[in-house]
Amino acid sequence: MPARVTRLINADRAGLAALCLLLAFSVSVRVQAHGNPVPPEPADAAMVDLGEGVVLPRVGAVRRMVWTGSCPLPVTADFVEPSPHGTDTSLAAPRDPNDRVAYIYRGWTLEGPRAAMQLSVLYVLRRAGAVLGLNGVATRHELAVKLVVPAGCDASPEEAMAVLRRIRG
Amino acid sequence: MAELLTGCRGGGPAKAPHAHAANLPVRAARGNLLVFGCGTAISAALQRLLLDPDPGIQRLTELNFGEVFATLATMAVLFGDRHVRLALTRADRAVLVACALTWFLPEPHAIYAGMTLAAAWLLARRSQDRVLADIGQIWLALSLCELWSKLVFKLFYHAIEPVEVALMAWAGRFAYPGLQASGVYLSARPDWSIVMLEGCSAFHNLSLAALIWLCVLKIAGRSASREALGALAVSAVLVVAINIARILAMLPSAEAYRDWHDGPGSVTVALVSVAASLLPIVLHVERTPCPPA
Repeated sequence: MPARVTRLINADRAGLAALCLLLAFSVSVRVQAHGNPVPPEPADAAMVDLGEGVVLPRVGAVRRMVWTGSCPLPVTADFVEPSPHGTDTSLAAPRDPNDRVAYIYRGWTLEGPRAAMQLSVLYVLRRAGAVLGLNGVATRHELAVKLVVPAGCDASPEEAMAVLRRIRG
Repeated sequence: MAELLTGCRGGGPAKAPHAHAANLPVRAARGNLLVFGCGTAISAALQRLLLDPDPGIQRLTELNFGEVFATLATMAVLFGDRHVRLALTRADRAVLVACALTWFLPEPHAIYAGMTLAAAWLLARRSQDRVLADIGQIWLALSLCELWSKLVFKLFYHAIEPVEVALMAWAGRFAYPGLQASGVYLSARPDWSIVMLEGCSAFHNLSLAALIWLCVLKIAGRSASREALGALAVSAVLVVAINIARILAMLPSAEAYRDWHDGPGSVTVALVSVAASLLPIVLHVERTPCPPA
């Protein structure tokens, strides 16, 4: 058998062995995770963080109308899943195409046309960090706040969040 | 399935005994590609079956069909042609092993990020090799179906959904003359309405239909001709019509909604959608003779 063929066989067999090992290991990890009881989620995972130490119970995370002093119409506050594949129950035809949308997530304020994408990226990074043990627990079920500021209203997301924190109950 | 379709792949004379040694690297290279494709599907399926609390019966049915077709097509491409001289480079093997690390990700969708990268590598750097290009196309279509289609839909939701709701309202008025459509809400009764979210759209079903269409073409060893694209268009129309019928079936009551959204009705719809994706392209393949070699 030519030496080149032997080298090809060895290299391909090594690649094949590496892939088989990775597959066996990943399957065993999944089966082990399935076999072990899931630890209860920490208390803060079931809460929505509104910032400045204010949290909202998950059951209270429903649509709210936030009246700010500077606007004749209320700012709509929804609680949405930040995951790229999460369901955004606030999705609906906007009342006005000039309405501004901002997401508040873990202290970040995301605005502009790429805000939804930025939210997804932040969530994925946070989940990846949690899996690697860099930033605490994996918070699969957390929510972000989505603010829809009516067209013509100059209220900032921070101003609306300040009001939302006061009316959280 | 390869036996069920009129295939145009391979079929040449058997190799002489002395060719056995030269075939060994080809077989090992095929093994690398097959294990990567199957491993990604197995990892995602295990994640859904074992670790997701409630993935939904309809979603499970749809996703598993996509993975089954892609795996069959990968095997058909790898083993269907006895003349193929497949050889992986060192970079190919490194990309496959690196992309396989996504099998450990805790999200079933994210597992397909690795397959997307591997497909992009094969299509960008190895497109001159027909087998590797075919594998890259199948993997990319599967990744689009499993991972990227919903993300793309979210980006264009405000453009797509009003059109889809208007189409549903137009079709629905034949069955429910008093049907009301307001924004993304549909209602046939004053006390019951449904809201159209991203999961209600036929967009995902279309990506699955495209994946099945591509897989059947690869299994049969055909190229994407104008007639084949016509079959895809027929499938797309059927899939959208089935989805509209499903949504309209949810309108009479909360019980009807539960049945067609989460119950046996949703599984029936998933199976009928797969059949609608499959039949036009299978009929096209069976009626069309193989192109001259």
